[in-house]
Amino acid sequence: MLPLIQREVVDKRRWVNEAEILDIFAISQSLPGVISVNSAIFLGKRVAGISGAIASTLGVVFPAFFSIILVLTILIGLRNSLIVDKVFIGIRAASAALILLAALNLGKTALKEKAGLIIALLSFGMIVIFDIHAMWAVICGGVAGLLIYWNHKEQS
Amino acid sequence: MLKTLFFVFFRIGFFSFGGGYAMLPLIYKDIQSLGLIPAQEFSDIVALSQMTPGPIAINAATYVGYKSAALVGATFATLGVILPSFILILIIDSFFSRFKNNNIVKGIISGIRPATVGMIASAVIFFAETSIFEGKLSGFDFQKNLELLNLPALGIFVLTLIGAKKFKLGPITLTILAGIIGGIIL
Repeated sequence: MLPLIQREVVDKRRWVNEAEILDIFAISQSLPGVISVNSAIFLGKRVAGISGAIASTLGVVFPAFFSIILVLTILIGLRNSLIVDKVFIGIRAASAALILLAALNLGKTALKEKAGLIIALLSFGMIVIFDIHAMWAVICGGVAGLLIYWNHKEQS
Repeated sequence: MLKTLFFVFFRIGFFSFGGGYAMLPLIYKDIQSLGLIPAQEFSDIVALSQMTPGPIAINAATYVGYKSAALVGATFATLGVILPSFILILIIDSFFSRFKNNNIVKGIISGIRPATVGMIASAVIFFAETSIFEGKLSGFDFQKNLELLNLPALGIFVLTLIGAKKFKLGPITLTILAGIIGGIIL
């Protein structure tokens, strides 16, 4: 989705330049929420203030909003058929594989250091084995990151 | 009901770092404890989200909201999941350059990022429990877990991995193929 945004707002509409959009993407990635939605909010704000931010947010959300409601209404009619159940078991198995690949890909860039690997394993274990709410994984990860940063600063 | 939906998705929005997949365990836990929709149905919607336009997070919020309280529910849940980003960005944009180069922020993010890898990996387990395994896995009881195994579904799982890695097929193609194969062999 990001290359799509870039082509539209940099090349076609010239709302921001290349360097600005890369900055916006980078920061959108480090904030909570969806990257494409975050980028849209940033861009809207830059181009036309708060009302711009509201407009761009609505724009990026609406297709997702309505397409899923459409799918839902169709799905309700199909729900109780045996063949649909089987199709969905297949689809869920594929999703498990796709998400595993996403985790591995992200892991390759995010887990270069031993500390990162430990945080990832702890967060996985907390959620899967101890059934702890995933927000605690985020909070603990953030605190660990802060402690590691302070520790490095003291040493240097 | 609407207040709960809004609050729950606001919290999800606030703690979801690292994109759509990472927020799955967050949503999972909340819809389970609130009994909004069954876990299996939620997995379906995530699977479908890969084929419909837009981010998974928005799709999931809209779906859960719609199922709980029709169009108003969908609106409240979706607003809830977006609002944390919206507020944060309006604040941050005013001191953009300072935020970008702040070392403390960088430190915190560098700890959250690996945590999200663990969260995404945990989503794999949730999905496996509604497809490759026929039920919830129990910690270290391998014997019992093995009995729950659905071999044809495991085959689809492995084929999807091969299709993505070796043949570079996209998620939409793989999802459709898996659905077709599932309908035939399961």
